[in-house]
Amino acid sequence: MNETFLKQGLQEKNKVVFDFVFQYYYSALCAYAESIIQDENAVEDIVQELFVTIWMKSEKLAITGSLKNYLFISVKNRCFDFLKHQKVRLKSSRYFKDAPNSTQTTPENWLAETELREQIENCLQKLPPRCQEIFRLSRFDGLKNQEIADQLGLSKRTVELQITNALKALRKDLQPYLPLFMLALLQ
Amino acid sequence: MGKEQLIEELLPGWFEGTLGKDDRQKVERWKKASVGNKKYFEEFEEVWMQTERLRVMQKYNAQKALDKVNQKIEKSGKLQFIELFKRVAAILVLPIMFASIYLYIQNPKEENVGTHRYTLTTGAGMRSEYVLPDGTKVFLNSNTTLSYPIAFSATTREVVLQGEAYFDVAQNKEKPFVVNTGKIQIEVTGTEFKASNYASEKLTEIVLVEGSVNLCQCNNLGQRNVIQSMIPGDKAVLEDSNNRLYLEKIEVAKYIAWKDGVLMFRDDSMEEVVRRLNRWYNVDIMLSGKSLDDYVYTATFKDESLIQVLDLLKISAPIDYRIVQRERKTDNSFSKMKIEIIQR
Repeated sequence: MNETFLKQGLQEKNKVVFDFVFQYYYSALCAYAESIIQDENAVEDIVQELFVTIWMKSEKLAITGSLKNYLFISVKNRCFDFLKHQKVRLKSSRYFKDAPNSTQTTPENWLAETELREQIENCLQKLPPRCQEIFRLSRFDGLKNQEIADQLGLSKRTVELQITNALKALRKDLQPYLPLFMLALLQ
Repeated sequence: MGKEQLIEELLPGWFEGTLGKDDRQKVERWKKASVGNKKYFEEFEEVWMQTERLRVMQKYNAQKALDKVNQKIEKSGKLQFIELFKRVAAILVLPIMFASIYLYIQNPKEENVGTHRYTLTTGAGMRSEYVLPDGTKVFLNSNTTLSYPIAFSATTREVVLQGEAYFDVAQNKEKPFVVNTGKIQIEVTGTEFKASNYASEKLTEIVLVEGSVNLCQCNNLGQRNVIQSMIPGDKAVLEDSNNRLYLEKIEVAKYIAWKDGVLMFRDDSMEEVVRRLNRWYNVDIMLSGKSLDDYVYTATFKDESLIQVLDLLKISAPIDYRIVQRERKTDNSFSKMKIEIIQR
């Protein structure tokens, strides 16, 4: 995937490039928008409108940095515009209560869905089946630790131990791919 | 190490928010104990957050959303087109030039999935001028349909022609402009030419004004093969009956004069004159009497009415004409104006 080729393709209204870029980044951009604004329904409109504008105004498109950065920053700006209009307060997730402007809204440590999935899956594949299963139920099916324990007939402590094992493995494997870790190391 | 082990095991509960007060304090104290601990904790937090992001991303269906985006693009594309049409219509105030446009989206069934097309149409006796999205200028002669995709593909700019059109193609070497006339494809990168393939005439005609073009035909595998290259001043004719291509040198002016609203004859036979008048004025002229093979006609008309043209022809050749009473059709509309030219 050549960035220059993609950027040029967007400027020249190349539909194949446009579709590819859209499908590659759409879900990540939506998740990113969702982390900034509370309104889940508005998220898809914001991202879709961005792409409509990119297509309609392709000749005026000026992407100086990376394409990924351009897309995420554009979504961020559109989200902030939306918030201005809606006067909705920034989303405060469970444990990011006092830091809505920091890591959550900088696009640097966001990956496209396929990239992120690949990194995570590559690591999970290496774990024992039971550990994988429990971690997937927790992280991707959104079950509570107690619910997993009940469903599998295990103790809550066993469930949490397995999740810890998976987290430890991921921490080790993901490190080279997540820019935030680089930043953390520099600090 | 033993202590860290313990802290790690508390993290799933911490992230989930179900940790008891004692355990929560334990984690807090541990976090504050050293920079290393804090960093270690943040790395776990990052992993937790990244997996959470993946879960959120999976909610969104890019394919469905892309269909929606295509619809939105189509809609705003239509609006832009209406604006363009208004401008073009405002320029073409000449009374004989009525720009007529039918904009509709064809059923995508026959096209590649998801690619819709625009269709430009001119009615009988009308001519009009358009600019395609790539900047190519097109003049459509009477009774002509030109369709093109809302978005040109990655490799070509393909349009489909039925009738007669003059193209002033915008330069783009990477993406050739291809006019599909059914029997033959005209491939160019940037040039001026006209092409016609009226079904009634049973032939495809291409006249090159400037630049160069390749004439191509598709083989059974759908690959385009060049069968003839043209240079300016060439006219290529492909007859439906034998699928043979004839190339000749011609005076281009008379073939393209129509785009400037000029009807031009240069050493043309009466049959050719009648054929062109029929299309130009949307009338139905019949020839009777003995054929005047010896006579050729040279004339240029711009704003003359059909009657004026016929009167001039009458002076220059031994002919007469008669306007046949129009018939009222069953749906109460009138038939085309009918004229009989009698050759003496």
